[in-house]
Amino acid sequence: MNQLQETIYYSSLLVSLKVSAVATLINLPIAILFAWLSVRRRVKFRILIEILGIIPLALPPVTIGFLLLIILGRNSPTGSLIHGVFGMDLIFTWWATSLAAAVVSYPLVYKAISVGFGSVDSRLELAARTLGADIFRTFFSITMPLAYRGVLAGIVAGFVRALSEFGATSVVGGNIPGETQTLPIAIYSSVLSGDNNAAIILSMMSGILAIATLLIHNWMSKKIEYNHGF
Amino acid sequence: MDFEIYKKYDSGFTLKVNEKIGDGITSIFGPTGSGKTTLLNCIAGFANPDLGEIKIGDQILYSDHLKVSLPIHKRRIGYVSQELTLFPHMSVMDNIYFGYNLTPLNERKITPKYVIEFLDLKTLLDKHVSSLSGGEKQKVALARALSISPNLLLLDEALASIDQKYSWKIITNLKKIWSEFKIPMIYVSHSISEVLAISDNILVLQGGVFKNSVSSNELLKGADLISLDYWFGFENIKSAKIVSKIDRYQLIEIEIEGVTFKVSTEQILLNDQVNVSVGSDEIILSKTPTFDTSVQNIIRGKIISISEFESFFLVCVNAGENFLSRISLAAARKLELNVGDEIFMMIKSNSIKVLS
Repeated sequence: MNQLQETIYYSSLLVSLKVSAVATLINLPIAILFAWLSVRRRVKFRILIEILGIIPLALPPVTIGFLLLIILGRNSPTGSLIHGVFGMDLIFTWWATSLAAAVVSYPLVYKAISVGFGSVDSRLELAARTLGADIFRTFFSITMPLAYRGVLAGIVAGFVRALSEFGATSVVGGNIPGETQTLPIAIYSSVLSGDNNAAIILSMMSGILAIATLLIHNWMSKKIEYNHGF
Repeated sequence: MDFEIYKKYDSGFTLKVNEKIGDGITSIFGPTGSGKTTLLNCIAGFANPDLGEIKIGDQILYSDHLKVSLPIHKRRIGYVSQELTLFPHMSVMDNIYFGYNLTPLNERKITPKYVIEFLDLKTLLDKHVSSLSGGEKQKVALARALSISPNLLLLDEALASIDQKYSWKIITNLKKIWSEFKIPMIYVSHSISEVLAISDNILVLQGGVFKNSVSSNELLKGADLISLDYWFGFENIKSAKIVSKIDRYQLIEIEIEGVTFKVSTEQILLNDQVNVSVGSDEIILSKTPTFDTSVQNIIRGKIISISEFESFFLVCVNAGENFLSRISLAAARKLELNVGDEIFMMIKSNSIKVLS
């Protein structure tokens, strides 16, 4: 293993972790809000929330990447606004890669959290309301703690999906080592350049990362269960 | 409390009630689907009436013409239902303090510490909710509701999901709560035994309207005010004073409104005051006293009402308190009973059950 390869392994691992973490952080509040509005508040535009929650699953990731490219490109209103405010282009940055990973993984986060909220007995929330808790306190002290399984599953599913994302991220982020080159993109590069050894090592790193994430999920689930006395 | 509620559902069911409720314990009795839970939901704020007004004292909870609908969390109404809605991720202590911590300082009249002592919950405080029995859960739910110093306590079939022996203990607690804290209560049930045991003021709800507003004695006298189905297995629940402790025959003597009864029990009773129950089927009526029998209690009384149903008669006998005895049509015909007649109630000592 030469120095250059070693650098690529570490940098693509770090980029993957950073992109997946940011994608999950972007998704989490949005998925929680929409899942709550859809499952608990039964809002009128629920159908729209449901469609948004499923459509990225139905579209090929490359299409999502292409759409983001159109939306965020410098010639688009959004792209020129970002350029005007921050003086930078979003396309071909790790931010764009994170955003693409977030869009692709959103349905998994949304669905798991919706199931989590749906599993909370609404009578417990009403009981909290009669005891003086307003909607927000009820949400944070009853709904969220009791929906922890769904929220945790959403975080893990979203993170793992973002780790494995290739199509959308490569379209909006390109293949810039240390900036937008995630593990799947680095694997693709290695295969293209005929470096099978590097591809195998990077694939193993991907696998270990996914397994580690799932193990952390199980450990956290058990810890929360123990603390709650379930 | 005053309420005037009109609510119509798509199914066609309409709740239309207009009532003023006193500060004591009021029971709302009615069959399943009569609108009891809808009524409580409107009072608690879980649902809004289509039209009407709900007031506790001067505080308006809902008014369609004033366009007022106080949010649930601002109503300060303690709500205990048959579904045991304790928060499963919290300890008993955290459950009890949940509402207290949200109650404004100037409105904290009852402290959790006092309630815990009062309902004897000290040993349960550190336990998780999942490790409690049904009866214990209901006691904790009561403590939690009381800790918000509620303006009103709503009890929706609160004893339906716990076993009968424990439910009578809760009834005793509810009566104690009322005499201690003077919080008005609305107790909803479809068990006539429970309703008569807990309150003096009974509203009979049927098909979404109040059919009657009666006292417990009036209901005992006019048993035919409600459908015969509710009288099957009726238990006469009475408060009694123990006048003599257990003797060598395992008997104690209790007094109900000055009338002494012998009760067979193996329980060690710590209090002088107990609740006892006698099934309406366990009271045998006789026009003449028959002393050469194994029956320990032969109590003289007076018939104050006879209610005739399709398959039986309910005879209300006053012997200090009113007791209901259910007798067959044939027995009623044989005895030729009339209101005002002197009658003897024969009750075996082991037919009187000590509840608490």
